[in-house]
Amino acid sequence: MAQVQNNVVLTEQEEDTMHGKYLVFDLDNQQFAIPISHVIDIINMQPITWVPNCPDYVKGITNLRGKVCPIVDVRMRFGKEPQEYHDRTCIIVVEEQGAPVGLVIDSVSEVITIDDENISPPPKFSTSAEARFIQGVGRTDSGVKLILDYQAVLGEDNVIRVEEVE
Amino acid sequence: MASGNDQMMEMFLYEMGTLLEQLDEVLLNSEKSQELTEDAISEIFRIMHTIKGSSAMMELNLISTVTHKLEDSFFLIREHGIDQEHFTELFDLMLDASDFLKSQLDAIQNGTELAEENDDLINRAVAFYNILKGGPNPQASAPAAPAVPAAPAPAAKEQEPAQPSAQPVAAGGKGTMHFEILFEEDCGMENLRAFMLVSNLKAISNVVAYYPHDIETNPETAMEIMVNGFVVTLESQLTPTQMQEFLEKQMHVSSATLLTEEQLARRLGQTTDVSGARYEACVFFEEDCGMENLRAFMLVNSLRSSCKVISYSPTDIESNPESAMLIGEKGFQMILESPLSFSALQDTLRKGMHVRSVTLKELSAAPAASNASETTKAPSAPAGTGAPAAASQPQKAQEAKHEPAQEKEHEKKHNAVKTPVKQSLISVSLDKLDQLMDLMGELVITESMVVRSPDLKGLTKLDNFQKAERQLRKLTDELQDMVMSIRMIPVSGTFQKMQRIVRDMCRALGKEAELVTMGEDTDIDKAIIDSIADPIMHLVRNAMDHGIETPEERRRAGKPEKGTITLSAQNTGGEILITISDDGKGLDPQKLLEKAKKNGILTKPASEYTEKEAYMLLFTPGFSTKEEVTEYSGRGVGMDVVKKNVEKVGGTVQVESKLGYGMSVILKIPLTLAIVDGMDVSLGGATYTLQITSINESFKAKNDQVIVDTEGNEMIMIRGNVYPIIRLHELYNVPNAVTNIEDGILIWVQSGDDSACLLVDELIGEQQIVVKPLPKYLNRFGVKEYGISGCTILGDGNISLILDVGAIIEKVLEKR
Repeated sequence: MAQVQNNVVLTEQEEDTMHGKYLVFDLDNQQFAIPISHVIDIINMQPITWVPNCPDYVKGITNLRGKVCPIVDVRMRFGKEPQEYHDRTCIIVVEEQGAPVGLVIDSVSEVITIDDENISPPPKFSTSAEARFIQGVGRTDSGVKLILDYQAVLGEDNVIRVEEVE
Repeated sequence: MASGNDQMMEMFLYEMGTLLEQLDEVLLNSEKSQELTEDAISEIFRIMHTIKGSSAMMELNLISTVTHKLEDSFFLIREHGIDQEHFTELFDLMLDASDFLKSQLDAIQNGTELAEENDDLINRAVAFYNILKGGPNPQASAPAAPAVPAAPAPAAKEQEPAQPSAQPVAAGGKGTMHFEILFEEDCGMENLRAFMLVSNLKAISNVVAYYPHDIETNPETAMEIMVNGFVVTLESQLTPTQMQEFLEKQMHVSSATLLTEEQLARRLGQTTDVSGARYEACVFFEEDCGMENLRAFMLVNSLRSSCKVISYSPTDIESNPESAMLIGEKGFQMILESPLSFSALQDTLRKGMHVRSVTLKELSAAPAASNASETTKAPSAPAGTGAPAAASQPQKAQEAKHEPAQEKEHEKKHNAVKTPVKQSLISVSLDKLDQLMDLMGELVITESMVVRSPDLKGLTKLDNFQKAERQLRKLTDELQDMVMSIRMIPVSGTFQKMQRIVRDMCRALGKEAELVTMGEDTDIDKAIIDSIADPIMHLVRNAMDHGIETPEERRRAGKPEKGTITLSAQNTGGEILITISDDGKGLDPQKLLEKAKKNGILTKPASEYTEKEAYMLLFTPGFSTKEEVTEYSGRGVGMDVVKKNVEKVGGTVQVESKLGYGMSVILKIPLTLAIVDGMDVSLGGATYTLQITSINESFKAKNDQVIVDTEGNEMIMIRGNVYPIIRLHELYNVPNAVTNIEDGILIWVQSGDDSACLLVDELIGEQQIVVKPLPKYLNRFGVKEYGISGCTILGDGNISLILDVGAIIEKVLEKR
């Protein structure tokens, strides 16, 4: 019990120190970043059980140390062509509604600090499919990083409205 | 031995406590972030709605009225939203309301008096409602308050006779009066009736005192009340006559008499003499019932409500198993004091479980002079004549010994009987049981990892290992059964609660209906019961409110005036089926669709809806089939909550209906928390698991055995019956699977009445699996409807999907 409580306290402290820290990863030759406080784990590719009736970008479920964790391929979620997984392919595990969800990305590179004032809102007139998954653009010394809105990635696509149907 | 009402009150208090906690959390979070999310609004709305309903059921009218008003406001907010400027007012109002409700809760718990009115809060709620409704002009619209949908009408009814008659009584002063109340004969549990009566009285008057005063805690007062009546002293603005009328209208009250001060004094003076006559009884139990000592113990316990057990012999029945033999030989002797007549007591004794024969003697005032014995029939008692005579000797001696310290002895015995019951039960938090269950699951998985370890492949001399393995398996099996059984409780408690709801709603709605329950001894995991209790309640309310018609309507439709609601639970092996059905008017898909269209919740053109889909609209948020809002249901909360709660435990909801003949809602609750026996099969290189209980048999089939109908559906004949073949690889679009029936294997599966044959690649083997629910994230893709009910982690760490045969068959039939 005591251990559990310690962990809770730790995470709270960590959250403070983690503010402004981002995990940078590559996807389709672009650099993306995700707030590190949202990342609970980074794992290598492991066997995934395919689940019927799901969209292509849902690769299936995997066993994350006894927990069942769905896996989403971010590249395919962006509507891009799938790519063979290789030994650098990684799964970033984030928490969504209290349960872990894995995001497949090409590779992770580093953890950097981006100050809030260096983050600007995403370009409004972007036509690319992934625009709605970007919550901001961070400027750093090593170039521009797109900050991934993972909740949008895991969110539902807009439901067709009744008016449109009838 | 808590009575139904006590249990219900306890449940209500617990429920309300949790709801209020939730309410505060939501309110405080929203206040902090200065925004009301849609979820928060629905949550608050739901909480208000639930409290309103349950408190009305417990006849806590004020609570019900207050929450009703607040619910009205949140109904508006949910529909039209709310301006930021009203936030402060809203949160103040809601938190004050929450405080008020909590204070009422405490009052109930501590047995202190409940508030009679809280006009301030109600007025504020109404004013706020009007602000929301008609803009910032509370003064002008305040008189129009009755326009609020269905004001407290049903709730206030009880109070009605009290309030208007307040003036004619003694100018301003409250009159003190005493009543002696007699309850109907054989209503049973008189002490609880009295307790209920007192709570009712508290709502309209000031209860000064009552006698006997320990009615809640001492079941033996039941007897006293039965004989001498129940005396209550109260202050009220009503005239004594009005009060008498009120009292006589209460449940089970047969008469209420006004007492003068003198009568009261006399009455209170005489009460010690309750005991009635004294009897000596000798009870023989059925010959081979076994454990006579425990039977005797049970008998003593069950007698408590109708008479006083002064002493019994042998005395050490609870602790000494050997007393069983003694009872078997000589019978079980008791000295009783009871107000019941000789023959009534004799009947009571005979009705006791496993009692074969009873010999009863009435003892005159002095216990020693007990010659007027009457031996009742001892049909199959060969020792019938000899034994009692022989036994009466020691009995007499004991009696004499006990006599001086009789009262004390009795008390001691009383304690001695009660303590072991208390000590043998402990309450454990459900969290710990959950952890235990998880560990159990891990253990089962680990066991199969060890036993099926690839390292063992090729090894031949494993005799000792295999012996140890068998031992281990046996132990884990037993452990698992034990863990499961700890968590199981019968659904009867939940079902019991519904009886009361039906009864109350019959009264409030002027309908006639009875609730028939079946399979209430079905054991269900505690966690599951907790999460389906609410849905069941909503469904029963819904059946009462929307399903069952009024007696006139029913007569016109040629149905018996009294409607029937059937509540049944059934364990089909793999899952629990809970059915709530009524013989009311049933559902009209056309009307449902119209209504849904009006509410804008259709997701495709109405013509494309099948009957089943139309029924399921009932469970869409924001749908309600009834125009006016009542105390019990309306507004379409509830039904969507039903579905949500059931899905939370991995279950499904189904509706069947025949217009004019009623509808039934079937909740299928899979044993998600369970460890089950599974059959692993392979399909396109992946592993899937079927529950053994759903498999009839598996077999290889020849292509020429397959029958194809005109639509291209494949079927196969098994022992004279034709069953459809379901190609799983087609249903799931699995690549690389076996497509030739001769190469694969057919599994004949069954779910309820539906049966079919599944084509898979091959059987892998049987093993115990720990069912884990699918990640919530996948719910939106309708995976469950496609027959995947959960998953399990295999010994090698991979995941296998668990197939739900019922859903697969349904899906396929729907497609065809």
